[in-house]
Amino acid sequence: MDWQTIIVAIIGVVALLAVIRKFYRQFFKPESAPECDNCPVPDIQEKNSQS
Amino acid sequence: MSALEKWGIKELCDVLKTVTSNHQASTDPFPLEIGPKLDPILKPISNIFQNKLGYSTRLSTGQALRLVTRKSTLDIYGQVYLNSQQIDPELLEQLHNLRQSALSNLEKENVPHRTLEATLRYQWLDQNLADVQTEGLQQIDTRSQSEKIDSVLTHKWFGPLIFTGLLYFIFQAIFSWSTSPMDWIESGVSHFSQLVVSVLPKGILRDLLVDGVLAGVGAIVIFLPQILILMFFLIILEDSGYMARVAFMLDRVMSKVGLHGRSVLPLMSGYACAIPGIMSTRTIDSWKERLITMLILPLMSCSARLPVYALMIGAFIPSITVGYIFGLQGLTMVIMYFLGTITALILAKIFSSWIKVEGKSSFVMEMPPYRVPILSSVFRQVFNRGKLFILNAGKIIMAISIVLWFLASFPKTDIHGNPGTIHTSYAGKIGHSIEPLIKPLGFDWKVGIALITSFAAREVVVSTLATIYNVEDSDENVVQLSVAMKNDINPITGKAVFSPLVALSLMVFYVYAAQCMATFAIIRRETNSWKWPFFMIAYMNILAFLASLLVYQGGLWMGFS
Repeated sequence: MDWQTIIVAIIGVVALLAVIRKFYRQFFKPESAPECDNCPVPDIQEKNSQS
Repeated sequence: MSALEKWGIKELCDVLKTVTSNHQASTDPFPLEIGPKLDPILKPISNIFQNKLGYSTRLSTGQALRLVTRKSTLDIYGQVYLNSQQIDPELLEQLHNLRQSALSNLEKENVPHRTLEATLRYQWLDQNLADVQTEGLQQIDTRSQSEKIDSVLTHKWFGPLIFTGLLYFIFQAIFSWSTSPMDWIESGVSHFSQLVVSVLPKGILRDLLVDGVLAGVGAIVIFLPQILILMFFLIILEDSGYMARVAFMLDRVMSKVGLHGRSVLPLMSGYACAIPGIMSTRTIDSWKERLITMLILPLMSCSARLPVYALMIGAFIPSITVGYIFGLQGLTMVIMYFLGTITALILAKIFSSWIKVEGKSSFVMEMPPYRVPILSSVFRQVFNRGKLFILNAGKIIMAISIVLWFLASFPKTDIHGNPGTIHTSYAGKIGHSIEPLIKPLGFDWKVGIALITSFAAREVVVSTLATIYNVEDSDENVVQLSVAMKNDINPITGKAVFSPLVALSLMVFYVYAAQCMATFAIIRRETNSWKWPFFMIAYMNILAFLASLLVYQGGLWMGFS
């Protein structure tokens, strides 16, 4: 196995784990708010907690 | 004074302190006119306050009225301590039962309980103001600058026309103004891919970086200028006070579809993103209205749909003028936004007749004065938005592009031992297996794969298509997605895979489809049930399929191809 294949395999595993983690966190972590990737949810939560 | 803008509060507090200091509890009768119809309804509650808590007649009547008007009053009694001891739970239970009985009596009398206290206070004001000499009538008669502008911007007919015109201007600007920055980004991605090709030796890592990472992420980053322009205008409209007027105009429509004004603001935030919109439905008292608002909110076209619309419109809708002044591209975008909004309102009407839950909330909205937006604040918000898009959305797009590259590149040989193609890859097999289902909508297997991956987020459809076209293409550098889509020919029919009709069908599909994992998750959390998120997915995807089918088959029937 050449060095390129080893690096690609590592990147692939990391990417797969990142996707699985993302799905898992959205559905099975009730204490953290579901997140859209490009919306300012944390700001709104912060404002709500301050008010 | 204004509680919303937080001015005049200190002065009010000072006056209250002056009035209440050295002043015994008033023994005057309750000032608001309760009347013979309400008196027997409120009496049992005020008796409890008087006998059990030692309140004066005036205070007990006032608290009885407040308890009937707002349920939260009971919660406050549950939390407060009386003479260092928590209030008796039995007394709370008694108050709760008496409140329920008062509510049913009020309903029989056709008196809305939620606005009862406010109504009585206004009656008192009207009676008293009529008897006193009012100063400054001239001032009241003279309309302020804001009121003059409101008379045009919130006019029954001109208001919606102006709003539509503004939307059209924004969407046309998105296409016209973003051309140069998009070209720069595209050229940057292309140069970077050439750099990677020149630095790395030929091999699997170089293929992954160029065809997977750079193609997928680059295809989305190109739309950053358009997203920033949309955000810039939305923030300007918000900060200038115009969005509150739009909410006011929509409030009229809301009552006709079974919702109330409180649903307007969450729905308006849905134009940027459904998630904060759904979270802000917590301000809606009535569960039925809150649920309906949550279910229809994902139909408002959020900014994640923008790359999908922009890709399809930019590539397949000609940049021509219709009706002498209207650019067809901007007009198509306006239609997509209106399609989602109008469907949301129609469905709200249908859902409100299906979902049987009692309760209706009231809504009072204070119009902020018009003001010139502070540019530094606008640019800061636009910058933050761009940062969120690049850093947060970029991560999942990159991860999905990498996984997809693996699925599209392996196995390297087919079952006969011949070199594999994208058709024999895992992604190709998945795409081909669902192609019969989506063929009536005009979509091929590549779009089929994109429909699956974009459940994570709608914009992933763009990066998915870019990755697939790059894996399929033998060119070493990144292939421009819109060019690849235009040149894609179906080998069986010999016809172009994408046409303006297919692009329209795909856009309509994305107007309705529930392609957002985060929305599904937040509805699951906010409703505390799996039933409603699955219902949302089912109704939105059935709607998307039928609407897309209607557009494509209707277009074919009318002679378009």
